Amino acid sequence: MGPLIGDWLAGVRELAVLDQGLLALAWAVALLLAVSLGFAAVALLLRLHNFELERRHQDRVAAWEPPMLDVLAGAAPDEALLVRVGAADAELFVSFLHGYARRLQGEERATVKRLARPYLQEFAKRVGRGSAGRRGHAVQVLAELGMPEHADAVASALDDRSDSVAMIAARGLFRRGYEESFPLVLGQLPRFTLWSRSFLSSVLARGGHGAAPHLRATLADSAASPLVRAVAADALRLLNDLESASIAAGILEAGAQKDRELVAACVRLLRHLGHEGHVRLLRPLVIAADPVIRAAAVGALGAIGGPREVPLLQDLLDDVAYWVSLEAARGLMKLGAAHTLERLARSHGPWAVLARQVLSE
Amino acid sequence: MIGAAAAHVAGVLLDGFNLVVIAYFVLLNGVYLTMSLFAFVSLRRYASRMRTVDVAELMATAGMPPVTLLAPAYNEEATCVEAIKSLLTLRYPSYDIIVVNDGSTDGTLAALEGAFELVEAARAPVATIPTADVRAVLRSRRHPNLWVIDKCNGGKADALNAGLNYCRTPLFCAMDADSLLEPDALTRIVRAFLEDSTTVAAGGVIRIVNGCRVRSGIVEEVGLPDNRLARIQVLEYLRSFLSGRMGWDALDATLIISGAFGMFQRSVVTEAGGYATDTVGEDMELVVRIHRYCLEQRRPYRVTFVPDPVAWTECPESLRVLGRQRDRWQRGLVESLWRHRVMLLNPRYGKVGMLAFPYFCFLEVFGPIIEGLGYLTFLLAVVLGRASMPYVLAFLAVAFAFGIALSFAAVGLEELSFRRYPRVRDLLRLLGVAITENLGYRQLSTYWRIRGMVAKLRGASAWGVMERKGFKATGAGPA
Repeated sequence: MGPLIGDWLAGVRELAVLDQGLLALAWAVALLLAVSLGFAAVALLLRLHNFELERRHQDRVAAWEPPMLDVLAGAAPDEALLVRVGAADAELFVSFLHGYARRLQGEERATVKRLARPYLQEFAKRVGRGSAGRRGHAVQVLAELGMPEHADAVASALDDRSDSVAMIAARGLFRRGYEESFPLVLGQLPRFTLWSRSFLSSVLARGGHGAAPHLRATLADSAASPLVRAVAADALRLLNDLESASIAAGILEAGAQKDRELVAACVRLLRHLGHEGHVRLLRPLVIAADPVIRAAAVGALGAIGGPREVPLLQDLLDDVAYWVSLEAARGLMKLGAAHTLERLARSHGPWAVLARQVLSE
Repeated sequence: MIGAAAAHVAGVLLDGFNLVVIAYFVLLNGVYLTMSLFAFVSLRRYASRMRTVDVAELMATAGMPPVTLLAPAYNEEATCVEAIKSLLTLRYPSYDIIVVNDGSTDGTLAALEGAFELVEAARAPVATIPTADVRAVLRSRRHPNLWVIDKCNGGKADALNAGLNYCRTPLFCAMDADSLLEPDALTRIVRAFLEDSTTVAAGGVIRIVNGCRVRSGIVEEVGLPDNRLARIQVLEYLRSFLSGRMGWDALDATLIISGAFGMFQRSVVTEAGGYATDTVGEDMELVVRIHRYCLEQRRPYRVTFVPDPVAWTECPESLRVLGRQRDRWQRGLVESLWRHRVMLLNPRYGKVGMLAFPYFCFLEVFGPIIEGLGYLTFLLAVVLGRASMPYVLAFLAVAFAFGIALSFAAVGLEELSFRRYPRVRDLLRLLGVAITENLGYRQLSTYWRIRGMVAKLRGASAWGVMERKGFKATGAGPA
């Protein structure tokens, strides 16, 4: 091999005497081939490394699973499992427990949390340090396995420089119903304005009825941003919080609120939790310029209105926006005016298909 | 005297063009290398973030928006039932499937009717994008979320528009009726819309199903195809998606979302006018138009690429069919860029106009012509004695080595991130393909793209036919 390379280099030098440009190209080829070999070596080494990691993971899980099931069943003490966890396997072990904790409830979940406790301090130190992925993982583990002991660490992640990490903390705190931190999370909502509103409201609704008073306060707070209040209204709707209907009605009644999202969220809330007394607030909105508000109001009118609303809904079938017409047709069905739809369905008019669609829903 | 002067001028022109070829080569590979580096950083960051994503928990979240899958089908009798069965098993809380039978002349509709018990149903259109006549709207008795729109033939874009007219969900996923989505692909791609509500379009990864074992529409075992041409395409797709699209996404200048798997905000696409029916590159044209529309409307928006949701698709295994596909892709590229040429180097269109557009115009559109002519002019220069043979060979060796380096980098990125090919043998075969594709395949690919350009200039608008083997024939193991 050595003489071969020597000959090759000698050849290159000989050519180089003739032409410096050729030498540069030769070096470029050599460099690129070396880089290629480097990439190939990295790919192969990564493969070996991942094989090794996977093998180790499988070995450990195979060793931990039987005693884990015994501990969960109360047939063995914690030590039966913990003695099998080496110092180098702590992270792997916590991941193993994390998988269980996500699926378990009640006493079994408490057992998993107890098993994880000795290892969580290391994760608490990682909050606020390292890459966003590493910080997020630490917060996620603590929120799942370390509450309420590590609630402060998780809550501190609400101020993390990464929105994703802060969201992991918010979701962790709400999912596990850690009520003390709800106001903190709600205070951080403005930083999540880029996130989908329906997603945010479902995150907040995971807090359960313990979150309702805080959400009501946010909805009623005229100093809060309309977007945050709209998210709170949607979360209250998901929680079926009856008390919030009067707050939503109050917002609509004041009439000063022009924000499309907040008005639509309040109307949606009334659709689910309002009563006939709220109908007078909805009627002016069915002629709103914004089709989103119009559709929401028509839907709510059909849901909580009485037979008196049928003529209005019939008129609204002719709205230029499909969604308004659809809500009007659905409203007519709910209010027992199916005959109107049946007549439309038999016609050749523009809403015949829509009427047939709603009749078959 | 005049002859000598003309020969001199021709020689100078030849040298000049060869310099253009060299500059093109340096620029193109420089861009590819830069994209690979961007992709490396992005993928590492993404893989790290993925540790914190629990797909099952996401799916349990009430805030997941309902989605409609739009699958246009034209003569897909061999694969459509299997593919739709796989769509019915997707893990997503709420979704409709709208298969648009675009006037198939084979047994596509009969196959669907037989497999899913379709009956006529009332469904009012939501939008009014003009399309060829819709003959019937059918719904499955067995699967209430499966709808079939039977319409006269109008092409893929027309079929997508018909589906879009009937789409009632805020998001829709455009895909091919013969693509297989991974069970959690929808959840993974919808994440982009949850985390940033300004997201209007997101593309996923397309991988090659040839060589994989498929059962009931689900890819059970991933493997490399035995067919050499298909194997090369596996590597091409890795390069294209993991290096190219990931790199452009890092620059926030995604200009292509594959028609085989992309998620869009319905309202934006309908407002922008739906799919263009007079181009064979309707997928790219739509994305370029979305950029243009949002920028002109001064609307905050994001078009992104998400590297972990996967759609598996069958690739051509014959030179004839592959050539037609590449020819069409090149025509689609030219048509999309020409239609929106106002964006080229126009600061009003931000990074898309100043970075992505020039790249696709100068390097992807004119690249094949420069490369193809380069082979000829280099040879001519040697024959005329204006360039030394060792020089030309050394230059070709650099090009060859660059090609290998970029392909090896793509394989490295795959290893770093998703590791879909579990067998070491497959990894080594991919590395082998990275070496051999440079001789023959690369030149053929250049030829097909030039042919596409020429066809475009001649006004061709044909799609060409893709020959499907069907998923049951795919893979080494039993299906």
